[in-house]
Amino acid sequence: MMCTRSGPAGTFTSTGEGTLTTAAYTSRAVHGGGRIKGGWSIKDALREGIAIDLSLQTHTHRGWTIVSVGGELDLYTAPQLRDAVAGVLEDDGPRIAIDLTDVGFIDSSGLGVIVSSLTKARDQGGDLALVAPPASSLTKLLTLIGLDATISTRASLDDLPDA
Amino acid sequence: MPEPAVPTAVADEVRIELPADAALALTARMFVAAAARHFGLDEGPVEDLRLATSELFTNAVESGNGSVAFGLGRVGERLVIHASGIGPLSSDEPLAAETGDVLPMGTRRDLLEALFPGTDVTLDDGGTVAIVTSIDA
Repeated sequence: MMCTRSGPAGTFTSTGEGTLTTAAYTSRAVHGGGRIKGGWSIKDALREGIAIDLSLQTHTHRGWTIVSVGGELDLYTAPQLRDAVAGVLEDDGPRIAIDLTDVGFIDSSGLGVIVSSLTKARDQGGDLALVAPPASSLTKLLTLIGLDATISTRASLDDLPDA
Repeated sequence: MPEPAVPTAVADEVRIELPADAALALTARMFVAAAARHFGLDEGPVEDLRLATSELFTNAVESGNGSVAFGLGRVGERLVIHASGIGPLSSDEPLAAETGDVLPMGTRRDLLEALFPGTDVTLDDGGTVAIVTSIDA
């Protein structure tokens, strides 16, 4: 049995008994301020050509400017984080913490933006801290790439040192 | 006769073909993860596969021919993942941040091979990758 579905995002085919019409996909991706959990359908993905932007919010906490990120950090969304951090560096000074608690996925593109943001903050005489749970995608990627010894993460905002 | 490194006869295969557009990286990850779960892969390896998919898709956007395809199929207790149209995976272009800081892992090829230690990762210069991984019962 051949099954083919086409949508704006591309074409999906399956053969044999592998008709994959729905799949449970629990994602912590945040879209438009809301939270999407479970029930992602491959048909939905093909129909919508889903491209979910990051959720980015800033606030201050104990002298730090916090950039809270939600969603998935990849080639498409990493520039959004880059631009947000660049804006904060320009407006609020170089003591920034990026809260990645609600980031469900990060790849080398996302990590590259984080590294470059860290460099820029330090070039301005400040610092950039990362907040992420110990078992997060970020900490795993840092370990895989060999940056875990040079880039530390805090488990929560409360672990940030006083400004 | 030794078994081929990458099974060529795959039953029950699912495949997706996408434009190599950065906005569709999430779609590619979703598809591969859902298909891998469908074929019985545990959640830990599924997450590794999500990262591998994202890296391959990124390579396709940066160096491919404009269209990328991912196919998954089960052969016995093994899951075979094919990716085509990803472009060459350079062995001498390191992953780097925008500031020029070189990430110590090295190349995207190094990262992919580190994700699946002891597993066949077949790469060719024509932009096709095959990953064969065990499905735990």
